[in-house]
Amino acid sequence: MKNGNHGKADQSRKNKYGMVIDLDKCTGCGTCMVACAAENNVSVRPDQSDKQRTITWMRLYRISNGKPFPHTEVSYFPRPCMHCDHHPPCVSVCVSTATKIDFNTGIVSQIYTRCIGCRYCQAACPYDARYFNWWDAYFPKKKGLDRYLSPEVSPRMRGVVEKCTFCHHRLMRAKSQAYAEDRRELEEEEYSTACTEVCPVQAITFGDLNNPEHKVSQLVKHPFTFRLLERLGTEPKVYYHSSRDWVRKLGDNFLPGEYTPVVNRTWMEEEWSTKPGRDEF
Amino acid sequence: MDSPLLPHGVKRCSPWVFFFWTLPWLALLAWGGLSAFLCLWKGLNQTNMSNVFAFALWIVFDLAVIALGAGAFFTGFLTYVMGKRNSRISSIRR
Repeated sequence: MKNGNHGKADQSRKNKYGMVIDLDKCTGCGTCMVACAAENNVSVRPDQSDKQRTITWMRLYRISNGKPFPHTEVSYFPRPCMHCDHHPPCVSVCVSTATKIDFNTGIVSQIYTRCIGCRYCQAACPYDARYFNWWDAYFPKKKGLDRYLSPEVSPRMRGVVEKCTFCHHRLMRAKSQAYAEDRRELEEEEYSTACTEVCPVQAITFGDLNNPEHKVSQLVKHPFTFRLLERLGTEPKVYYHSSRDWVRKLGDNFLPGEYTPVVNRTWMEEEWSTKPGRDEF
Repeated sequence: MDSPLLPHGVKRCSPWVFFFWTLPWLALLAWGGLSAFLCLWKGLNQTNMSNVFAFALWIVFDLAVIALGAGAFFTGFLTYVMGKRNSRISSIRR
């Protein structure tokens, strides 16, 4: 069963899995990073502080509006693979067809056994979402890290590139379950990524963007929803949602005066805000 | 055998002196050999490249230095980048 939607009525419709991350809710706790690493057998380094060479499929960035104290605002944004639609830059440049976009699910896959480690996709990816295995996978013994290894996710060897797969194995699991129960359609809650599941404030919403009943396809229509580097034309399927204009502005590179705000007020300016410095607005 | 190629009035140095002057290049070759061995044996982590600089100096040498090793590229570099249109190299080309 290649596709979850082999029902007769829905034969033409394909799934397009995507994600909406609410940056107003995100507290920057980093649970998504931990859950992602645990779910996908992401190996660690003896020195995990060397961030240029460690692997973090889901990465948390901290952004600030850069204003002095009373007006300082900070936001965190988690960055998985954006799973660009139609023509992902990494897919176009891959010389060994190791990364492909599945048009039935919209998931950009990475086939480790095909990857030759040229790192061309890393250079092409505008989101730095791809990570190279500079060393063989390493899980320190007797420290618990070897105990959580998942049998569903293949480990990666030295010399291949890896990235977020939208927990593709979970889709496979959900499909097998649906097949066993003689169903053609997957329910919305049947397939979701590890980061979606663990987020304590439920900032991440995952679902099928092509299904109008799924929550994500309604959220992406909101004017506060934006995508990273949208004007590159990569059409990411990971959307961000923020009520703050400066956050939305940081989602792309704008020339001075080029950005048109959706609304000029932020929650800091609202009457109910108790943030220090509110009265100075 | 190669005597017609040698300029007149120039003497060959002794093999030992010749070997002495090749030593720096042999050392460079040995360094390259060692680096190639380390990359093949231990992996690309030996290169100091990272996820931020995925190609790093490698691409500089590949595109800039090695490309200039080709005669036509080098002539083009001299003519169009350096502006040496009237140099001897350009006049040979014409």
